[in-house]
Amino acid sequence: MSIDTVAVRHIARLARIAIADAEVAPLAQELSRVLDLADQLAAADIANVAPLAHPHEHTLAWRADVVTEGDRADAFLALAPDARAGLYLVPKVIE
Amino acid sequence: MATFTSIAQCAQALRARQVSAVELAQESLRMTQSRADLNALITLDEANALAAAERADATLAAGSAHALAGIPFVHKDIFCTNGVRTTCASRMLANFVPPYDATVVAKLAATQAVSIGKTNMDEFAMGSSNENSHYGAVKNPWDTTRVPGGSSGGSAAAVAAGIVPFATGTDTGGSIRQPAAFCGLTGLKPTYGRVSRWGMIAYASSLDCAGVLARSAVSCAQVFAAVAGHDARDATSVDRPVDDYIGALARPLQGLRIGVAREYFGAGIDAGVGAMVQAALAQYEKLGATLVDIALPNAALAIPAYYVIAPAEASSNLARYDGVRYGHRCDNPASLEDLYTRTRAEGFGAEVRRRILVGTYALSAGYYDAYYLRAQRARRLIANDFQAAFKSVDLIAGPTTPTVAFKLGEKSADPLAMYAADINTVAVNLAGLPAISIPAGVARRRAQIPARDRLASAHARRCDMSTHAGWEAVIGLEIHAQLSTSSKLFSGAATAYGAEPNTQAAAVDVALPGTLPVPNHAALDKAIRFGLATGARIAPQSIFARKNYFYPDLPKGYQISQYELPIVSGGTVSVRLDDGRTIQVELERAHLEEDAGKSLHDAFHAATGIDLNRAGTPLLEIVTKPVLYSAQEAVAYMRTVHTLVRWLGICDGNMQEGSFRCDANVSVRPQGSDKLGTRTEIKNVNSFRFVEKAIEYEIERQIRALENGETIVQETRLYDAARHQTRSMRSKESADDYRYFPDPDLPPLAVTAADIDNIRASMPELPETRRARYVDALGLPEADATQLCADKATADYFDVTLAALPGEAKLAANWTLGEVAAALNADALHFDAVRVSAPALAQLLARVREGTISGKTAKDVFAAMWAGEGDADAIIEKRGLKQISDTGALAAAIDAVLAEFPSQVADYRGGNDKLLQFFVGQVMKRTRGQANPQQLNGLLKEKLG
Repeated sequence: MSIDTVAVRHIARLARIAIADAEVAPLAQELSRVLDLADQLAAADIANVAPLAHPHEHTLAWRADVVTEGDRADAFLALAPDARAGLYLVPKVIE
Repeated sequence: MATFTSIAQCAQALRARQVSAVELAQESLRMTQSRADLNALITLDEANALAAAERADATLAAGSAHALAGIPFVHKDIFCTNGVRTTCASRMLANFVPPYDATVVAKLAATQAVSIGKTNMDEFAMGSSNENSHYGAVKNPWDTTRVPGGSSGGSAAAVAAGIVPFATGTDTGGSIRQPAAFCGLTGLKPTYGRVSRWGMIAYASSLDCAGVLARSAVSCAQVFAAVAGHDARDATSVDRPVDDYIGALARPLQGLRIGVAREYFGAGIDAGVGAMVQAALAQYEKLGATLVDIALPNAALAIPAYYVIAPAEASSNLARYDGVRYGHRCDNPASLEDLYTRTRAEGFGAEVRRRILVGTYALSAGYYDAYYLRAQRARRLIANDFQAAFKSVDLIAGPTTPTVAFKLGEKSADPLAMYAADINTVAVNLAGLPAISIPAGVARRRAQIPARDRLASAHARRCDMSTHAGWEAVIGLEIHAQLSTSSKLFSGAATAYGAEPNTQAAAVDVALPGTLPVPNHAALDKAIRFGLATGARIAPQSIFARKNYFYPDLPKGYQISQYELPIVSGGTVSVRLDDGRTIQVELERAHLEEDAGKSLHDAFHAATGIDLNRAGTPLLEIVTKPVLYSAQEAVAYMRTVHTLVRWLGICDGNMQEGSFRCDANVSVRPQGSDKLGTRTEIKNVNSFRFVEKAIEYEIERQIRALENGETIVQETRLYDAARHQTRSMRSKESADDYRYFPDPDLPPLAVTAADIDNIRASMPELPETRRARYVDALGLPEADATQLCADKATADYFDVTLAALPGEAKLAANWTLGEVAAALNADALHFDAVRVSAPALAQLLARVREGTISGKTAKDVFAAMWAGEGDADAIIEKRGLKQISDTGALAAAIDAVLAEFPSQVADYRGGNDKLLQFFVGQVMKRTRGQANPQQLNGLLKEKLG
């Protein structure tokens, strides 16, 4: 599958990864080759096979509705690159 | 050297006091330094290691030590270690110090084995040579010009070099087995789910397995026994007892059937490798095993399937690395977009970036079916092949890798050449099977049964109506009701409103690396209640799906929601409109999802502050079909649902606190048209009044625009209450492609008929049924019945009152809706804090019925009861409020009054009837209001003549 540079920029936007102009064409090539690999699936006769999302047949186990976690604000906010007044800060978002 | 021996020999030496744990640890630390050229470790943890070794020595001396106590080892730097840097060999986490331990780490710490540090690896476990590390490549101790394999290259090198007897690793596509093979070690990848993934930084959630590298199968078994087991914090963790792995080692090979698949000895396999493995198999035959030829016809699909599925899951798992809550952040971000895109470009290496982009593509609109879904279908075929093979064999054997360890740099220029080398390992991960790599051979064990998915579809119906001249509006509402659970949907953090920012955000809610969601049963319960109350279909199997997008209040970079298979589908809400009509509003679906956090835009200059207290609270998203045709219908529906969710006890409906929010999809079309016009979405309106106004405005706006020849842009709009208009949100440059896919961390939800029956049995009588019963059976007026049924607590109070006062429905209703409601309002209380209980009210009203007091007096008594002065009888007694109905006493009072006012008596007798009221008033005064009015009237008339 051949990906063009427009598609590369679009995917990079969706994935929020900055790519330099010089990187776009080489990336398009690299990604195309990986997707060529994936295209080997196209040949297989699998349209009627049900997809397998989880390796084992087990269903979801639930937990009881009990509060088990306390206040970890100090420990977790300490990990942040920019936290002030108990909040995680990011450049201002305008809605 | 002690560390080149097995775990068992080390343990023996420790118990024989030939060496101490501290000495072993020191030796390992020394060897790490002397083999620094291998670059096997990223972090050496000398202080903790020696302290742990001392504690192990104490336990060993006491004679109560675990088999692994005092044994030095290393953790792959993918396992979170509390207080010790955990990098995943990435610049993105170069400064990340987790405040929690992975389950694997905690379990090994409990044995008192001694971790001396964190090993190098391919970045985020993506690689097969350990050449993709931010901290540089690892060298193979056997030949330092060659790779050790990957991604657990550092772990393999550390064991192979004799630094430690064992190491933990992870295997997603072969990352334990292949480095074990390249370094002459034994590497075990357990069955998927057999070892907890909690705290193990995720690469591909449905493939990742924690395991061990050591010098022998015995050592692997010992470590495996210590880390295996169910973990309630990992929803994909297998809940079955752990087998006796160590005991099983003694079983002879006699009768063992070993499958040999020709697909594993294909053209790409190095001749020398192939011959070596065949020789090993011949040896097994000599030891009593039988070799059986088997086929794995879909083996060639494994690499393509893996290199779609793994990157797809990775692209979603790595979205949380965004520079906001931990890890790398770019310098001086100019905007939110700049923060994300530059942080992630800087933080991730080339291979990781490549796989994220491939994965994003495979999930994107238009490609999901061709890539991701197709790969999952291939996955099932591969799993089926194994299942079929295991009917005739106990194990399947083949070379772990096509070649021996290749040279550094040999394959790094061509990713595809690197991927192809995984040919013999990835199939096992796709099927979730256990596998072990043994030097000069490979053996695998019994398989397990795969799971299944199903697709369903929803459909739409229409009914016609008309509104504006020539135009018709079509509205669909999406209501987000916060379910009234105590803890969040996927974490045990509290949901109470109003807490200090970020004090109700657990590790899962902050999306810290290696954290996993576990769902809250009460949320499911409440969703089912709603489905039963609306006559909807409850799905016997439904799926949690990831909705992927970037926003600072969405810590994981995806929201766990439901997409193709929601828990509730269909259903109808009966809505009574103001004009007396009743409409049946058809629902599309109702599904469970988690809420996002809150963004505070005005707290800081040039910055937005994020509070994650709300992140992860459970929501029920209720979606109508586009079957509402006016703002009035929309609001009436919204009110009805508001009453219903409160009635069912599933949501407190507090709109000021954001527990009940509404988005409206509005479009218009020429009257009589079949096609739907372009719709706009008005988001997050939090009052009935605003919803009505916003929809009305939007309908007008669209009609005006269309009449002016403009087109309607499909967009999201906000309601500006101050200006009474909707306005466009700063639109995103492109519509978001949410790349929905089933969440690999959450197996399907199953609901049985028995579950549903249990819930149905505990459902209250629905408001509409009760309202109708009040009208039909009790004869209450519509208005009263409707008002009583606007709130379950009100209706319940009425019912209890009535139960103690049979036949007095109107009286009970009047007082419930009158005095009681007014008193609650005045004190800003709800029925849960009512100051006069229903039985107490009933007693009061009984006294009125009996004639003990008048209706007017009862109001005063009620006020006294409300103030806490006691029950009705006590107050009546204390204040002497009993009506005077005694004829004698009344007569005496009347006589006294008539005697006092002789001229008025004469006037009355002369024809002035109006003076009756004057006498009534005087008698009342004389009796302090306690004369029974009916008795008084009668007797007075008699005496006046």
